[in-house]
Amino acid sequence: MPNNIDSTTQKFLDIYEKLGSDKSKRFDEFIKIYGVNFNLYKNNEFIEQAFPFDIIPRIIEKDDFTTIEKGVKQRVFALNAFLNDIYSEAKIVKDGVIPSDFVYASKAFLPKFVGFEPLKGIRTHISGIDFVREAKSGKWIILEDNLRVPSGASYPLSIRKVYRKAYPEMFKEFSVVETDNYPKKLKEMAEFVSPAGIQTVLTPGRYNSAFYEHSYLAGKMGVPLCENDDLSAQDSKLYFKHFDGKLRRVGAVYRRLDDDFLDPVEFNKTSVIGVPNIVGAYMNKETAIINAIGNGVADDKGLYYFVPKMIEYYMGEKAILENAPTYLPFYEKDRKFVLENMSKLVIKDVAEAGGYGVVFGNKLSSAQLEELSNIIKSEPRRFIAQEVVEFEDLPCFLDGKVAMRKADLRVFAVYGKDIFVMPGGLTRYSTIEGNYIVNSSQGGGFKDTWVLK
Amino acid sequence: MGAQMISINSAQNLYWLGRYMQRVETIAKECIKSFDYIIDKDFDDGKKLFEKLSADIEYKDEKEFLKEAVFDEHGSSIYASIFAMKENAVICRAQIYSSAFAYLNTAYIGVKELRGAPIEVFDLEKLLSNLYALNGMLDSALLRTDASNFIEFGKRVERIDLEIRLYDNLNIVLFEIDELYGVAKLLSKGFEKPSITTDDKEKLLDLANSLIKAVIKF
Repeated sequence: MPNNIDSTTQKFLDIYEKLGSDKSKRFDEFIKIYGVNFNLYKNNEFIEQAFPFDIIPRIIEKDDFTTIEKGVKQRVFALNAFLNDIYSEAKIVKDGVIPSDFVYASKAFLPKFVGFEPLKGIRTHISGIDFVREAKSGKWIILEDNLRVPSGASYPLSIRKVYRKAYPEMFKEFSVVETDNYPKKLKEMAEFVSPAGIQTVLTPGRYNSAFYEHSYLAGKMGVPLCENDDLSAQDSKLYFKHFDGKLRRVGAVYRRLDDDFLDPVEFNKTSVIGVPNIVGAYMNKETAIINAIGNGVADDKGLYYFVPKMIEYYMGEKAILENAPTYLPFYEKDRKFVLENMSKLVIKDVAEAGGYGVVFGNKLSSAQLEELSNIIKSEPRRFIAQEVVEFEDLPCFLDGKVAMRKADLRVFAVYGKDIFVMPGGLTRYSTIEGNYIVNSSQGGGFKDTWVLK
Repeated sequence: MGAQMISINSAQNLYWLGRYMQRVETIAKECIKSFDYIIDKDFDDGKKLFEKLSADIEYKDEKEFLKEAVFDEHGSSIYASIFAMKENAVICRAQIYSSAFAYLNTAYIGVKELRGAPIEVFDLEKLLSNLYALNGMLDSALLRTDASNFIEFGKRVERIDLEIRLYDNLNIVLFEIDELYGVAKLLSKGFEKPSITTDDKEKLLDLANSLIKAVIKF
């Protein structure tokens, strides 16, 4: 047994051992027969696979999560204000707080939407904020904001009920905050921003990696799960095609596809998963789109550097939560530092996501370092560099033994009438020892996250 | 099972889910019967069964028959049907009880995992147990939603189809059509029961198969 397990988790392990580990097979059974999948594409082949799960939850003390909750609310509010600003007067750019390059050179910035204010002024309806916990200080650090189509909430929600059935004793020992009102909060938010009619979840389809999540959330929200041809935009309104042949007005769409694929008339003409002219209904304020179109500019890795500044600018407050120490090669001073210290830094390509485009300088040969230096010199805006955060390893059961693995935490916030932060989240861990990449798309697993009362 | 609105696509998935559920159950039962006949009563019984389902199969004994019946490439194999059942369920799972999905997926996984192994009648009996549990669960629910009605509708159409193909009992076919009308009425208030003026089985089959168009307005 590793000797660096915190006392609360150790208590979990002691109880677990006392109760008998044989019940843990209930979790594997559940994941298998309920099809709790996170699918992958490898070599263009669709692989339907269960999302690897580890039974040892991440346990967060009440005070810790109170800070996270406050910080996430603050951050989501500021990011929403930023998006509203840059799609209107762009005061933050005019005031020189954020260089215009970081807004207007981003591919995710969509000039067509300048001057358009979405329903209720909300753009960041659902945010997934990624944290790690620094190993030495225990400090929570934000690594990334996900404001387009953040996924993963359904997995810890699904598994929690298995814990309660298999190990009710645990919930007497640990007073865990419940998370199961998350779909209700989503529904309330969708109703809040909806001007009329029903709400729906729009999925790219059964072969999407997160299709399980799409159907889970639609089912729990009690709204229809739609593919593109279940919806029809006519006269700047969006309709749901009911089986009885009647069209029902749709007031809000929780879309689970990226901007580029959302509307083949407006964006990628080759998209076969989008709804033609849905953007017209959105621009006409007849339908809310959750999350708003064009949010990608705010979760661009380059913009991440500026989030604490946004908080100060829009809220007049210091950021409650810290970013990882980040350098922008865009600035000459930072560029010099990055080029001189590349072997100690992690370099991220701002255009990539899902753990791709992340390079650890210490893993590169001198020839590779030189090649990367040249690219950074020619395209400084394309990269950010961060100090390697030595984030904590969490205990995981692997091959029948407890082993320590790197893990992060995605916290979900829902912005409707007010901002709600799910008291828990998706903890992702790397299945490979020493690997800092925990993304599900790269074979990482998940844990439940218990917040104590 | 959610009571949310159902799109044309979901309605079709639910309908086909019901059809494949019934198909898998009936074929599995018939295969168990044929297995017994092939041993020492009628070696060709399995071939006759699949001929009625528009498929040709070959086997050298009752064990090989089971393997062919479950996994052969033809569209009437148990695996082909249960795979289609599962795929329809995955697509419309937001509309069905999660525990119903679990029974259904357990049945599918059970068959899938038989690939490459010798198949026993007990395996088919286990499959049937899961399907009975699934059917029982759907039947016993007090809340009749459109989703459950579409599954029921699909099952009833498939019963008529199989009744005509396998058992040739006109009285039962007419009874089943009557039952089907009842479900159609639940799904479409304006549904008017057409009068049946034929005892031609092909026409009756066409009638049953086309009735879905009266409830899903494509």
